[in-house]
Formats: sequence, C-alpha cells, structure tokens
Amino acid sequence: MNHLSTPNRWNFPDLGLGLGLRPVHFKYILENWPAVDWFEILSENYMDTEGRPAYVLSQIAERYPVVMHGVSLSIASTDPVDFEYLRKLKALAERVNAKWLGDHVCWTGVAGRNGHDLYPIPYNEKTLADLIERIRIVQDYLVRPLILENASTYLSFANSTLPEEEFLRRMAEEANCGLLLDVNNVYVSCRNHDLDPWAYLEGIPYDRVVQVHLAGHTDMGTHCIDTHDGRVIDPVWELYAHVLRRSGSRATLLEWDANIPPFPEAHAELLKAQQYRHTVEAAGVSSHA
Amino acid sequence: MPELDQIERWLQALFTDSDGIMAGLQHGDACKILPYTKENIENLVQPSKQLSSLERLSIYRNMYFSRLIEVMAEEFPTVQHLLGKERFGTIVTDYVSRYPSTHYSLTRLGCGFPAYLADDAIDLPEREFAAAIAMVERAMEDVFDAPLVEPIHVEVLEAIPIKRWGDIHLQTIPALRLMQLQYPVNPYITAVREKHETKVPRPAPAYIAVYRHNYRVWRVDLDAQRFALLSALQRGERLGAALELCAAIPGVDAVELTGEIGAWFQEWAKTGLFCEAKLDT
Repeated sequence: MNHLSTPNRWNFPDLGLGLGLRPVHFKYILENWPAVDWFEILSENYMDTEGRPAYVLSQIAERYPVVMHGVSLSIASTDPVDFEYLRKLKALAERVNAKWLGDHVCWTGVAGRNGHDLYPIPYNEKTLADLIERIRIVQDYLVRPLILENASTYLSFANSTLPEEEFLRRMAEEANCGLLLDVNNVYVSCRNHDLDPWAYLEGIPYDRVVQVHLAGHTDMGTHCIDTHDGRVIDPVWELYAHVLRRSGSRATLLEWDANIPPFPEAHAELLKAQQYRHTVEAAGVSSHA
Repeated sequence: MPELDQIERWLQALFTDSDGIMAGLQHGDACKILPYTKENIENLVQPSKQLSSLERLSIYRNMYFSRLIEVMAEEFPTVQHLLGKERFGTIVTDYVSRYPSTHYSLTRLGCGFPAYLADDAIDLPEREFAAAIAMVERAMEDVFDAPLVEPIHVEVLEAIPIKRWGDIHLQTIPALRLMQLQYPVNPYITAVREKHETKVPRPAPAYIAVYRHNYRVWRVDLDAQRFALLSALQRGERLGAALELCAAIPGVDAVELTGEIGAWFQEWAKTGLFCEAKLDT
C-alpha cells in the first residue's frame, strides 16, 4: 500500500486530530487545556470582535496550532471579490498565526446579499474557468494557497458536464490551491445525487489534500442534510479509512455545530479517528513518506 | 442555458422568497429572471431518484428561513418569549425578507431588528414593548463584540484635583450603550432569561446601561440623573457641563447631587466605564 501514500505538495504538516472551536467549549478549554492536537476556527466569528471570543482565541493560539475555515468567502459568486473581507481575513490569519486558511467551493450570495448557506454551482468548463480566475485573485491577495472544501449539496444542475471530483481536481491543479476533503460531505452529496462515494474518492488528487473533515449528518430518508449535529456514522468512517490509505495521515478535524455535547464527548468522538490513523501508520503509509 | 450570474440571482430569489418556492417561481422576483415553465426548471435543476427539482430547491429555501430564525432567536430570546415561537418566526421571516443580510457575519443580522419592530411591524400589538426589548438585546450583542480598550482606574480619577473636576473630559469605553426607553424592560428580560414567571410591565420611563466588563456583558437600570450624566459624558461634554445638565432635571437637588456623584464615579470607574480622562488646558 505504500505506493499510494501521497504527501501534500506544500508540505503543510499533519497536525493530527483537531476539533472545531465552539463558544460552548470555551470555559472547558480555558480551565483544562485538553490534549487536543489543534483547533479550527470559523473565520467570520473572530474577524469583527474584540470581546471574549477574541480573548479566548488569543489564549488558544498561544498553546495550540490554529487553522482558519470560513463560510463567507463566496469564491464561486459572480459578485466582485470583497477585498475588505479579505483584508480582515488576512489580518486574522496573521494574528493567530493560522497554519492555513480555507473555505468552501460554493457561493453564499449575489447582488450584495448573503444567504449564509453554501450554495452549489454547475460543474462545467465555463464555471471552472471563472472559479480558477477568482481563486488566483484571492490567493494573490492573501499570499498563500486557499484550502477549499467540497460542500454538501442538495441539488445538481442539468448543465453540469463534469463530475464533482474531476471539477475539484482541475480546480486545484489549475488554480494551484489545496483541498479540504470533507468525507461526510462526500457521503451526503453522493447520497443526494445517486452517486458512488468510492468512485468519487478515486478521482481526488490526494497530493492536493491538506486537511480532512469528519462530521455527523441527518438522514431524511429521501436525502441527507449536513447538520453537524451528531456522531460520525460507520460508512463515513469507512470512507475516511480509505482516504487515509490513499493520502497517508492528514490533519483531521471533527465538526460538531448543533446539539453540541460537552467537550470530552466531542473529543472522544474525534479520537475514534486515531485507530484509522494507526492502521495506516502501521501499514507504513505516511504523509511524510 | 442561462449564464452563472443569472442562475445565482434566480436561485437566490427562490431561496429567499418568503411565500415559498412555487410562489417564487410563478410570481416572485425569480420569475423576472427566468420565466416559469416546468421545462425551464427541469432543464436547469435535475431531479434525483427520490426528489423532484422543486423539492430539491425547497431544501435550500426551507434551510434559509429556519437558520435565520434560529440565529435571531439566539440573539433575541426575550422578544421570542414575548411573541411566542410561531409569531416570532413570522416576524423574522418578514424582517429578513425586507432587510436581507448583506454582511458576511450572522452577528450583524439583527442590527436593524429594533428599528424594524418599531417602524415596520405595524400589525404587531406589542410592537413598542418588543422594540424596547430588542434594543437592549441588540445592545448586548454590540457590546459583546465592541472594541477593547483599557479602562482607567479609580486612582486616576482620585488624582485629579477637585477644583479641576469641572474641566475633565471623561471618555466612555466603546463597549457601553445607554438607552432611554418607554418600558422598564430590564427586569422583564432578566426574568425571561432566568426562566421565571413574569408579566408585561406597564409603560414607564426607563434608563438602561449595557456594558462589557472583564469580557462579560452587564445590564443595569439607571435613574434619570445617572443616565443624563453618563449620556452627556459619552457625547463628549466636560464634567462641569454634564453636571449642569444633570442638575437641571426637574426635582434634582443640586446639593444632594454634589454629595452623591463621588460615589457614582467610584462605582463607574470600578466597573471600567471610562477609558480616558483629559483636562481642558
């Protein structure tokens, strides 16, 4: 299996196992300094505050590696790039010494509005070319690669001509950006679009994958919603194990955004990932190979 | 096939249409972008094995309103308590339809809610009380995130010679909001947030300070004199001029006032309400 191991091309480190930083856990973290490897923050929650979130983040950034993950970059919007947003994003990244920063392959609004959701785009040559151009503009401004995540989607377009994984591969290669592979989103989107997640994972360029996301979702029977409100289901763990076999160990993060349990419970769910990482490491597959 | 810009505008119009997907397709802003026919929709949005194109569009539309109502309920729990969940949901749906979010952060979503309740929610019988509560709950959000400045200590004030006090400019911290309201909302907010039984109070003048101290947000009721004094200082008046305004309030005894203000400033300085003391030269 060693030959399948693929280090990421920027040599971003495998940070280990991280948790999404959520205000409900602030007190626990400050009182216990738990043995979690790193934290991921929702960028927008810290860009405009000098209150308690900023104070807590400064304490955490002194002790743990921090990664920034946004939800409002709107990289696939047809609106002009919001440089004021980027200025604040860049300033925050410098302030917390972010290991990397990213967002989603989506748009969140147009005509100056924000729907605060991750909306899909058609996957075709035209949208790919436009998206690559915008990613380059943003990366030039930020002077660092963007690490972009596959979003969960609930509809698909008739004018899509490329499978999502091929769209992501070409986007990452041609814009020279990184990928945040959300394994739960792969499962959710494939369920929603009647696709095979295993085939999807075969199309991912693992040398571009810097980080992996895990989360729970809600199965509505007719479709799945990416709710981040519970444990990771077994089929998603199986997909995660496959990703590790292909990529080697990657910085892995558990997202939990609704019905958030006490910190130790969320941490225990995250630590389940350790067994998959150990298996891969025992097999000699390492991102630093 | 429409261009991406058209597709995004069409989807956004549909997802944010308070009357629903079907109404949006047939009569809303979306149909101005892409005329409604069954073929038009299916030529753009594919059905899945389980869901039609319309059902798939509805997922995003339903999540849009439920998410924003949830965010607003977190910010305005007392307004939600007053109106009840269902009416609160209807009001927020109308609010975000009239004033959709234009900021990247959801923390700004409720900025215009107090003014909306006061000016636009004309069919709401409790709108004046609801607007007063919303002002305080929005102020709590504002001071939570307000810029951080180091407050001055009591000793700084004590070191200023008494004869120069009239010439001091005391700058209040950015994380302070002062409000004059027509209802005593503060006890009501406290009772609701602490899950105690309470009744809607009768209208009466109320003065409230909302501020942040040691990263915690506080709400305190003020009397008319304290409110007048702090408001004047916040506007940039010298302390002497601020005290004159305060003494001019009907029923205020200037001598008593002089005897009390030392203790007020001790208390305010301890709670970190001032960040600078400058003397007119």
